Amino acid sequence: MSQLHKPVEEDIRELRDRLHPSRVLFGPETCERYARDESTRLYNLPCAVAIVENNEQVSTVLRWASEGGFGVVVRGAGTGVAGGAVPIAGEVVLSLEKLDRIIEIDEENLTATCQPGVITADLQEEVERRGLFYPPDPASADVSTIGGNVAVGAGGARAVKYGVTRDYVTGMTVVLADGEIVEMGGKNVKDATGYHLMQLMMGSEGTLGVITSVTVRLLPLPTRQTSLLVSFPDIEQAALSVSEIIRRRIIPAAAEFIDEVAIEAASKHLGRDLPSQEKAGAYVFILLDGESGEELQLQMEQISEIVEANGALDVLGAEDRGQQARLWESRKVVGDAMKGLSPQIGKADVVVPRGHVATLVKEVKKLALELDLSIACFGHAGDGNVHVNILRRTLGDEEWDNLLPLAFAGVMAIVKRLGGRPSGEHGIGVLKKDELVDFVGTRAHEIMKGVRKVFDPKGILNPGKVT
Amino acid sequence: MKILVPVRRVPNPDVKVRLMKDGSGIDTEGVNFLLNPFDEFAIEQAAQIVESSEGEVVLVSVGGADCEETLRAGLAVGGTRGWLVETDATLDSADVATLLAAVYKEESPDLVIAGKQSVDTDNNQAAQMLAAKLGLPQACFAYKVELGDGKATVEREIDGGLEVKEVDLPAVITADLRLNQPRYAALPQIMKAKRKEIKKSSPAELGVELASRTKVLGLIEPEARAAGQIVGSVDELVEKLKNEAKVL
Repeated sequence: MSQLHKPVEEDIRELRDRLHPSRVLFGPETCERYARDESTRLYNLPCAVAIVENNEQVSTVLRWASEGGFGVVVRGAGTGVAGGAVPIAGEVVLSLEKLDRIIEIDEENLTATCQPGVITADLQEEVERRGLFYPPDPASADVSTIGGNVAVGAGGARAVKYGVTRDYVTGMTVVLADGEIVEMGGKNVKDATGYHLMQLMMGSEGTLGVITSVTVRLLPLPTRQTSLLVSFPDIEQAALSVSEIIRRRIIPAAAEFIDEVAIEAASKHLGRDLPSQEKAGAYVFILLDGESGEELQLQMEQISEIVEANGALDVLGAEDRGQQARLWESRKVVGDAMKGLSPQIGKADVVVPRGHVATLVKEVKKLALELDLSIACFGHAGDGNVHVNILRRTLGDEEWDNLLPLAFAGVMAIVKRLGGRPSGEHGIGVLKKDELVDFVGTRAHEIMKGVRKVFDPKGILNPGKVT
Repeated sequence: MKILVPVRRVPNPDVKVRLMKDGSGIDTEGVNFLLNPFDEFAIEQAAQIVESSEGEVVLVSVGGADCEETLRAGLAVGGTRGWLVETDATLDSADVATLLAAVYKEESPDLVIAGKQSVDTDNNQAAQMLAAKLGLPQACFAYKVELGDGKATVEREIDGGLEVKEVDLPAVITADLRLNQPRYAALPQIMKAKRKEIKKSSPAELGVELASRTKVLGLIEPEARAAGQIVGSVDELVEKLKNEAKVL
């Protein structure tokens, strides 16, 4: 990476002149909200924030940065948890929050094209009104943006049946580091035209280019859905049940779980007791969707048999949308609820082959006992993606600083042994760079760095992140 | 004890409200519907009362054929049987009250518990009108309900505290959101609810001729809020507050 410079006042003035004075924020108060993300552990003020509204303005910012050798951090809603959108050394933040228009919903080609700052849930609602379906649903969908989802390779609960963001993008517009605008992919269902650069952009976390429009494919909206909440005495039984459901060829739209620490957090957050709370060590949440009520009812009965054979305490269900939302409430609030138990959290977003989830949680719980730490496991039992939250609770600085790396290393060792990966859907950012090298190996890491150099020879895009 | 609980099918309140192009109403195309959340508190309260004594909870809904689904949802969490007054007509609160009054007369329940309002139109009228039509006492926005000898004691939250009302039964009570914690349905309850009786009648069969006295002339969206401005100095702020916003 060539030498980067920190922009001085004159450089910022130059950027303001080229863009428009109102588009560049630089006061500490206004930059404050661009200095952090949802990782709870990072804080770094940008030297300025550029708020752009079209491709040309993105080009302008990148040309300015290229010429001067200034680092640029691309940012959507800032809901990432690996630090990908947080500056590390006072770089300029390029905020895409105002690029927030849905450009087109093409009902003939079953695609939607939108700007990167569109909130994921808004896109979902818009297509659902037309009887169409954009399945990826990261837990943050109500606040996170499509651009951020694509850049980080976001997943979500419906990955079990429908896959992740990566599986739905068919085209994008990218502004390269030198300001040139390139189209990748399109609306085509098939595409065997050389290397898929677009695939590289997904999960690039702002290191290869700036995504300024995204085209995704859509499905017909399933008309019926049913939810189940099953409580178990312990998390291992819960995970085994989910494996058994999938082994029996029932593929729910979502199969999630939360452990006893997460149940405690959710109950505290919601201010009420949850189902069978005194006996429950874990909840499993299942969403079934489809076209026929009979089919869903049959699946519901089969699942009920399976979970009861695996020691379920309670099997609750809902068909009405409002009652379903109530059933899912404790799962939905878990991310926020954790902060109520512990102001600081070490978040690992590991993924293992889905048949190994039970082993993973068992070993993580053992590790927690060994280290005498509070560790919560929750997430996507159906696709093997487990959020391991290491809670500081009331630990003192020294204890926390000693224990956190030990816990992380322990979790990663378990994941590696099970053939998993250090990140299922949160990305690498700045917090998981060591794990990246460790898991992909030196050679693959070299190739990644080489790819990055081709896209961004001066290394101005999101310096210090990912590779 | 027999308790009548009116339930309503409402558009999902989490979906952004959008108007029809001609402003004649709300566009519900592609929007999913659910059991009015306040009605869940009413059903739960009725279920608890019936469990501790004996009797039945009769759910009644007024609306299109889809309301059957909504009734089934209520039957899974405490309803004994259902009654659907089927009509595709646009109804105002008075129409709903008239139809509910007709069902009341057929059923002669000991008590009516309704949700305090439906979250679509938020009118908060039908239950009160029902009480008026039937000449029954009413206690609205219940926070706590206790039944005694032919009477109900109802606590309701008001500004600055709780108000306690005593009404003779039969009466109309409406449920507020802190009344109870609605239950979740166990799977067998959902299956059972699918087989529970739902009676269907048209308004004509109940001897009601609908003559809506409310006409919606048009709906318009509120004006978008103007964007904020960032000012350079306190003087500029004061100047703008004085001359532009005219609040100083």
